Amino acid sequence: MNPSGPHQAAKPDFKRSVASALANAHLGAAMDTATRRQDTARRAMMPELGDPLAVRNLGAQIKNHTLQHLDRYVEQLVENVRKNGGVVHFAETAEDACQIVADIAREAGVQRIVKSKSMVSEEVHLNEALIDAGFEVTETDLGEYILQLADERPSHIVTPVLHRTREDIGRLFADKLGMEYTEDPPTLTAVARAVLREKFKSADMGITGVNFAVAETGTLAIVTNEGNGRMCTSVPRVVVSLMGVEKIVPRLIDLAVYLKLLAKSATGQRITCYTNLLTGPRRAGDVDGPEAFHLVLLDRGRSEVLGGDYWEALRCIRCGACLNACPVYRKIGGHAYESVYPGPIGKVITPLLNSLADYKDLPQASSLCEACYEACPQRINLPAMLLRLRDELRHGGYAPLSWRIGFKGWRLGMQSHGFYSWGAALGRIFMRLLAKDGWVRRMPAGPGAVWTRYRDLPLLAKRPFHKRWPALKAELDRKRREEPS
Amino acid sequence: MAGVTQETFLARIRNAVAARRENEALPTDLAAARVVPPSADAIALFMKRVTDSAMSVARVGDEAALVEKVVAIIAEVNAKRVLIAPESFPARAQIVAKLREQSLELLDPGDKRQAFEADVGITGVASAVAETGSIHMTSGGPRRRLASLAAPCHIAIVRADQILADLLDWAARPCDGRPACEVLVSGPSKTADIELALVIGVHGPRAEHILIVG
Repeated sequence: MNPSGPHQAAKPDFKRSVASALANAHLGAAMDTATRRQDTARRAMMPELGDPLAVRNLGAQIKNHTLQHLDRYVEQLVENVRKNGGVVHFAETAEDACQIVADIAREAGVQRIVKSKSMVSEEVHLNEALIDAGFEVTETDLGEYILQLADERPSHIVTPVLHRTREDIGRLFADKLGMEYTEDPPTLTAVARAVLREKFKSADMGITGVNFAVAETGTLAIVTNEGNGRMCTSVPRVVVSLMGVEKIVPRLIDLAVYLKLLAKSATGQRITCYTNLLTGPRRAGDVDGPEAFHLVLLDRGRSEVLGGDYWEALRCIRCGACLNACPVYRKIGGHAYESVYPGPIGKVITPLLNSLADYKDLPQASSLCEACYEACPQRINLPAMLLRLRDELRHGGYAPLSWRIGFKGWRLGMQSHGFYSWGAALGRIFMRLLAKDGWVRRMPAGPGAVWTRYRDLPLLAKRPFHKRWPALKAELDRKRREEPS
Repeated sequence: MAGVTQETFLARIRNAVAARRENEALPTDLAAARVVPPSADAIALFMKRVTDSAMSVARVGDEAALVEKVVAIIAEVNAKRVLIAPESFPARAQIVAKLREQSLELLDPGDKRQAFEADVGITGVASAVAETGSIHMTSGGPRRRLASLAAPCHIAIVRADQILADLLDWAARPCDGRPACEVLVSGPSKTADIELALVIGVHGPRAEHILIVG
């Protein structure tokens, strides 16, 4: 696992942050409404692809091929970016990436930097590094700008400020921008537009993420709805794009396939408002555009993932569909995961890109309902990966003693009729002592206590199902015979 | 410069790739991803799709009608300063003449700061895509990136024969050396970052008018 984990003050404590998220009823309601809306919009838009499953399979196949030959495509991309007049840098760690960008800025005499939304820049903590190095950095995506003012991290990879209400944002703007309080989204947006426009005009450098990098042409695709990606790459004299090395696609025609999938899966839009394609700095004779263009390729654990059992997680196009579909994410929101990438995909790639020991609770935070697998446009089998991670945790000795004993007992019970009946009978006697009207409202200890913290537990049935089944089956057969066929 | 060398970087990826036994082919037939058949009425679909995404669209028969439409839009948004991209598109000369006649201020397209002062930007397009209701613009030569971005209102002039059916057709067009910057515009600038409430007009134009000639 990669030694360069995120700069976090304390080790993540998932259980504690989940408890605090669940105690925040307001957060739960906000996340639930927003994620359901985006999920519904996705479901409504996907059928437009005719045979969505076929397109998703195609997307998965293209990425599989690319990843299986990634060395070749990296070389091709690098060669073409250079041919177009760009400079390519190679970062193995988060520190490398930050250092490279800071060096570029320093050498170009840059002071003011505008940034378009990029999850990989969150992953390497680029803003902190650049601000520490003395540069002025401004996030220009409205959501990211709000987070920067509030000194917070994104809670969703596409709609980063989903956890904040308009009242929160109104108060924040009044406080930080000295304006009169309003909670009207159009007014708040107009104020941000005016502030950020001045930032664009005076910026020396623009930083972007990359949604897709086309190897055959050296073209980088950046999608936004607001237009900040266009501003960041059109106005400043230096442009730096930072990408995880897995973002490569071979051909421009492959890009068309992903453009069909990405926005539909993310927000239920047919396509984002702006799809920006960058192929190097301004050409001789161009009247505008950046004079210098840099691409930073980041590994940070990805090559290790590529060589291992979870390589298919690198197919992810960061649409966030799995977040919106996930019943766990809907309840606890993004911050509780205490990782840059939350939700189902985060539960898989956070331990992989950092360390499983630090994030041992994340793979457990799933009901394995497969909603994420069903939603994923790249058909990444996240539930299977979560199970495999759990298995690794068990073999790695990360499972607590109580679990190991508990599951051994469970296995014993499930494998022996006698133990099963005996255990169930004992359980029923025990539960009857605590139950009222057929429900246990509170268990004193053990896994039952965790269960009853948030919900009631029904009393075990008097007669187990396997004993009732012969009679039920006879009844069913009789009914079937009586029905005219 | 910080970071690692290309060789060091590639060596790690080569090792990882060598560990993979799978060897899937790059699909050559992408027809399964086609949404709009080549036989479809691309112009009608394009007009429907751009309307769906809150852009305005009109189709005119000739250049005289086009100039009239442009003038009407400029009057409607009460524009004072107009940036006309110095590239070739239908009726450009007539539009310039007509707007001069109406004593509107025509901004210098070569001046970066002036682009931000414009009330309206007028450009041509490189192509358009019916499937997604997108207009495709490129940099290069006299074309201005900011002409379709900085003003609150953008007018795009599209020749009917520039409209392609599917994104696959757009990506398959032969392109002799890609321009430094290209953009597919598929709606007015918008955000839903605050409580998913839709707000039109953030960093780009809040009004996109598409005029189809022919």
